[in-house]
Amino acid sequence: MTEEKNDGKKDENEPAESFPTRAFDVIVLGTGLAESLIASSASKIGKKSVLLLDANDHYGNSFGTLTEARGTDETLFKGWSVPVCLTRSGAVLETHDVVTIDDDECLLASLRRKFSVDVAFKFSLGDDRLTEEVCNSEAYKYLEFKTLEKSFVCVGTSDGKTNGKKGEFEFVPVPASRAEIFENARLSPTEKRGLMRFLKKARDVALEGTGVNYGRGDDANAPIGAPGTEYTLDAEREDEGTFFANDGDNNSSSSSSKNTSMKAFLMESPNDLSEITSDAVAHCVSFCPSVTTKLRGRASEMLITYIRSMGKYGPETPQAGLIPLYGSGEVAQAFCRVAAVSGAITALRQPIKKIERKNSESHIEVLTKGGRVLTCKKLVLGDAQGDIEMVGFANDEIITPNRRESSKFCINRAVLVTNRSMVGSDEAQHRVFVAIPPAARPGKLYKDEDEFVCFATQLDYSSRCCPKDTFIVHLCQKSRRTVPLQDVFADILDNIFSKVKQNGEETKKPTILWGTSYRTPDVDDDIVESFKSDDFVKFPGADCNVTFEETVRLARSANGCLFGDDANASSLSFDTLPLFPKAPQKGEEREEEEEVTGDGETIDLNEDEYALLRDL
Amino acid sequence: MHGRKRESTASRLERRAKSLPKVKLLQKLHKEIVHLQNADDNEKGKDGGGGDDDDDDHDTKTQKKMESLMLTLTQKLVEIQPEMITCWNKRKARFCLYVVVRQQKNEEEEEERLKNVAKEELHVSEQGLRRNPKSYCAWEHRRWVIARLYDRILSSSSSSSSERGNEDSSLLPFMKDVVLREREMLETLLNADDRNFHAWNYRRFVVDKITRYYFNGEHDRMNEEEVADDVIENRTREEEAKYAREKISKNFSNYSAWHHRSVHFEQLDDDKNQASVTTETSSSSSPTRFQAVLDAEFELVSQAFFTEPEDQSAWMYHRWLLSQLDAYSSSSSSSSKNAYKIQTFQRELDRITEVSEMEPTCKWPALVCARLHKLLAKEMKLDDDFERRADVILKHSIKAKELYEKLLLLDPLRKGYYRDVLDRML
Repeated sequence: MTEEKNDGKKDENEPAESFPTRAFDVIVLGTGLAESLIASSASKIGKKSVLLLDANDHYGNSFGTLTEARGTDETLFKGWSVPVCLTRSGAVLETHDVVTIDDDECLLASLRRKFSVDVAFKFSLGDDRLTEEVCNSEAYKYLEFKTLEKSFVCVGTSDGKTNGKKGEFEFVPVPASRAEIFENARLSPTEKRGLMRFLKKARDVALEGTGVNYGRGDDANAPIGAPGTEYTLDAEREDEGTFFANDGDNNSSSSSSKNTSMKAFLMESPNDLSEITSDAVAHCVSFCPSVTTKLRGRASEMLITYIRSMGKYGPETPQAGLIPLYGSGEVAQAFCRVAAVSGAITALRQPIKKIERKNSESHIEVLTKGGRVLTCKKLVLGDAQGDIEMVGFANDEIITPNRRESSKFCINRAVLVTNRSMVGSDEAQHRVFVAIPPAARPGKLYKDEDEFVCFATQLDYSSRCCPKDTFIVHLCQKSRRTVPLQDVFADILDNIFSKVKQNGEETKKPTILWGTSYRTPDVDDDIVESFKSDDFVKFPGADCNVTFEETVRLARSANGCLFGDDANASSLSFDTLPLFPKAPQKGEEREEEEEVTGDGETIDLNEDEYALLRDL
Repeated sequence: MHGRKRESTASRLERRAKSLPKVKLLQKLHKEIVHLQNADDNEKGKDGGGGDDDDDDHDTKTQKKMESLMLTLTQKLVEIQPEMITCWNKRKARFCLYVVVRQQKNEEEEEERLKNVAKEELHVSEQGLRRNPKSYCAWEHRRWVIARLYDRILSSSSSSSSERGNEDSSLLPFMKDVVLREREMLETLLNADDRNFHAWNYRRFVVDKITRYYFNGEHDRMNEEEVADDVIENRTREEEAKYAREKISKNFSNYSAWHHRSVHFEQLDDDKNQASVTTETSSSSSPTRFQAVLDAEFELVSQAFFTEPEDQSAWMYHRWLLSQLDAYSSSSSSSSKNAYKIQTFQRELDRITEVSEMEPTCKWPALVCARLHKLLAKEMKLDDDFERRADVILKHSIKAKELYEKLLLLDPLRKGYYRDVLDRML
């Protein structure tokens, strides 16, 4: 199901329809997630006049979907490809086909309308920044989510520990909750205890100040076995904050501990977890993109977010991850819709020729290719908007292709359509997340010192991204730019999947029906610091993270710079301020709600019941 | 409910004060219902005394009116506060009028009426449970209604079977529908709160009393007479043990689920005699069926306390398993059984000593270790060659004492109990 929103215009150079006004408070160019978040917030919360334009004929750009690929005669179905706008603007550096389709009569060709293949698939967690924005902005009206059923970490079997063939992977379930630890047969009893202790401490930090009665050791009234009490600490309870933040300061004897990586932190005393378990926690719970990712900052924050997210929506959904149905491209679109519903003017196929900051008139002028001149007080620029001439902007406000070229790293992605689940057909789980750490891949074709992890997300029919009996696998891994694209995933593609359909013998490996890979520039964290002006913000494309967290964080701090108080305009503390303030809760308005306690002493009736009983 | 933010005392008091007039009103209505009952009794008294036809007609009219008033009032009240037992009793009294077999000619009509009344009662009880899923009275009412229906079917089939066979049983298919619906409702309730012990108890009632004898899922036992009792029983037991296991894997801090498992485990006692006979004659060292099941159960519960030693529910189930071991070896004493028992005690001791070493401040592993040392000393004394093992026995009892002394410090709330145990050991 490839999204192709057509607003009725055929030629991209055709002049735009006349807008009711040519002066706007905010003009947003681009419909990526960060751009649409800003547009919807400015329109709905800021009550500003907003114009949301995109140069392309579809929503999302690097947060959108791949487009259908056709052969030279325009009729032959060749799978999907990266939208031209992304390759043209440098948002995608190169592509490399994994498995191509030549047969127009094949199964995929007939089912092609049932696919929705994201450029950069991401999911959210039950209690992360994106979910908060979705809930408060009413974007939930346009979105549906399903849980990520299970997470796995890959273990190479070449070490002879298991009976698999050399170089093959074994999928080990990630024990992140108490139930998962309990059920995990691979963990030794000692390790079960150790991991549980670690998670308890993290849980304590996560729930501090939330008001949830999570049962401290000294709280005799906490119901035994209540959610949270499993993590109860007794006398040994640590002071909050010393757990992650100050652990380096506590052991000031070793200067290196300040820069400990997440994985090393887990493997060292007092946690003493095994390598597999450390990998599982570091990459499937903290989502560290590399083995060397530091403990402090994002990694420990993700761990806390993950723990808060588990079971957030009741005992029936213990999992933390939430997959947007019809693909993650829906999320950016939903926020575009929020913007439109609250009054923003939205249009696709509106390429821009030139933007010019007019300091004398304190506004920014936008010149469309159709020859229309629009003005705005604030301008937001997304990726893949074509070549735009920028006048009056400081050098560090413009991210030139040159600057991208200078980056040492890049993000590699691969999308595969397969015919069966990679975690085994007998497993009931199909919506799964898998981390493949470098230690599990002795067969990889290149050496690197950065130790980046490959993340794989598998979607099935239930995620509405593909038809029945097919699966979509999104692979994502950072690497140095010097590593050839085709080498990055080569060993994984060979070991987990098979490229050719074997008709004769029954193979356990899933067959790749179609697949492609592409490389995008690395989105540096330091781009955030370039939000210096209060009238212009430029967003990069999708980052390498598997969650939306960083993108929302970016949008929040941009929002702070654009619309925040002047005093804090340059600070980055905005990333904690939600774009959409919390809506008043229903419970707060309905104080009259009846409640019955066991002793029958206090009974609250609502007014209807009260009236009814009085009449009887 | 578990894991909710607690209400402050001030706001609680305020809420109470605010609801006071409403409470007063409810109490007034409650009184009215009591009077209604008395009036009803008076009617009956009159009815019994004398009765010509006009009076009778008048009486049924007022009775009908009273009844409908009573029904509306009680339904309203139990929907608001399902613990009002007077209301439920009033409804029970009325239900009894319909459930009696009257041996009249229009039996079909009567059954139809009974069905409607039963549906009504189940509905009202469901409303009560919606308000408070842990209401004792609402659950009991439900159980009572189903039990009466069940009795009625039993009595009517036994009394009429001689004349008409099974053809009168329009109640049977109705009952089947009811039971299937009950199972669905239980599923929803236990998914919402898997520690609702009322729901677990009721599940056992539904499964034992009805499902086991009359309906088993899809299979209608009425139609497949050839299925033996014990086959159905085994099947039910397996299903229920499996269900409890699923709930345990979701959250093992669940006394109800462990208990449910123990209830459907206990019945393995029945075939343990057969199992032991076969193995003893073949004199093999391989574990009997019962031993294998027990070992697997010990393994399962150990996973729980290794994950979370502070959680009591696993320790309680462990204790129950140890007691099963006693019952097993005492049922017919044999050397192989005793050896198995001592071997199991020893294995569990090693396992739990490991937990105790990891969590020295946790009282549970220390307590269980102390018990196991005590048990081992006791068992070995009973053994034939106990003199040879005197030093081992001494070692166990010394260790047990040490541990109980440690527990005095670890768990000062129960030091009286530990002192008592120590005194008895002297």
